[in-house]
Amino acid sequence: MNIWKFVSGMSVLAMSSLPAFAETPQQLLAGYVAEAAQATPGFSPSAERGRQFYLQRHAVTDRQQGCFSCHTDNPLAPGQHVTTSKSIEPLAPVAGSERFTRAAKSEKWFRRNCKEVIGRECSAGEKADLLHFLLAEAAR
Amino acid sequence: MRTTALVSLVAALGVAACATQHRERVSLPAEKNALWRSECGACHQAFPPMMLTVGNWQAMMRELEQHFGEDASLDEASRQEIAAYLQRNGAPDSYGRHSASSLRITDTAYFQRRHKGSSVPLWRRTGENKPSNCPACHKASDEQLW
Ligand code: HEC
Ligand code: HEC
Ligand code: HEC
Repeated sequence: MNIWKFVSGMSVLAMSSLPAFAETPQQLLAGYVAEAAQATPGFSPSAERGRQFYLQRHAVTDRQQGCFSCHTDNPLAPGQHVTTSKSIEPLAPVAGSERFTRAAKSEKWFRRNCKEVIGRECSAGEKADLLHFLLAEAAR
Repeated sequence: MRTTALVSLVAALGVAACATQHRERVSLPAEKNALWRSECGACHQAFPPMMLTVGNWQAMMRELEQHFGEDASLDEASRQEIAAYLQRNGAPDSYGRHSASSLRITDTAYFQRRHKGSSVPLWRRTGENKPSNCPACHKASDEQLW
């Protein structure tokens, strides 16, 4: 979509080094879209792909079957760590939350959780799809 | 022995009741560290540094990629800051009762002795009532933390 080409174009510069904090989820999304577009020209994020990714049962480990194992199958709801029972704030950037406002934090958890759940790091395209889905859910 | 039986009965009752009734407060260091709070309190409540020896903490901080089956790895600057904080606030290595080769607080002699009620089935369950879920039964001295 054109809007994405525009946004990606705008953020290519910003992406060259991820700033440490004070982003909005929308800026973070634009960054991932720009990064994905370098690998796949014309890339545009899809909430439907994001939903499928979020609900997918990877089953690489017994305990952590998918993202939903800790974040529940509804990203607007509070989650619970599957091993420790500690409660986790909703993953979707609902009003008043600090989700996806610090690139370094988001990147750290993408790295950890993707490696554990999927057995590899997530691609920029997967992150863009997921964040697009989460933003759409939060806006509902 | 009768006293032992009585003690374990009391302990068992204590443990059974504690899920609703917060009992003994657990001490956390007076020295605060925001990084330790957020990083080591993300997947579970931040565990009391004084309940494990400095040597145990240092061993844990060297292998965060494989932390009880999870990836808790940090960038090097954060890792060093937290390691130094635990060095200052952990139990001295001479306190053998605060040491466990598994690096679990719940395996230390001190923890086990204070939680004799661990023979009740409650401890064997996973989830809310497992021994490592301290806030299920305790409040911390620092109420903002847990
Ligand atoms: C074992 C439990 C667990 C699983 C499974 C899990 N997460 Fe998480 N996730 C957490 C915890 C704990 C946090 C950090 C707690 C907090 O910030 O409240 C977190 C935070 C995050 C964040 C940080 C968001 C921000 O604030 O910027 C992202 C992104 C994330 N998870 C993505 C995923 C994805 C994608 C998956 C599936 C591939 C996944 N998680 C699976 C436990 C889990
Ligand atoms: C990515 C998630 C995650 C992060 C981050 C994390 N931990 Fe853990 N930790 C776990 C899990 C899972 C367990 C095992 C819990 C269980 O078996 O009940 C655990 C267990 C522990 C235990 C043993 C508890 C017991 O059974 O006595 C200690 C001590 C501990 N962590 C300290 C730390 C410290 C210190 C940090 C910060 C450097 C940290 N953790 C960060 C996930 C994490
Ligand atoms: C299932 C409930 C339960 C859990 C979980 C639990 N405790 Fe306890 N704990 C108790 C009970 C009951 C006592 C005995 C309190 C008393 O003497 O009245 C106790 C005693 C203690 C004491 C001794 C207090 C004193 O002054 O003598 C400490 C320290 C302590 N617990 C720390 C912890 C820590 C740290 C954790 C998590 C790693 C933990 N506990 C998990 C129930 C629990």
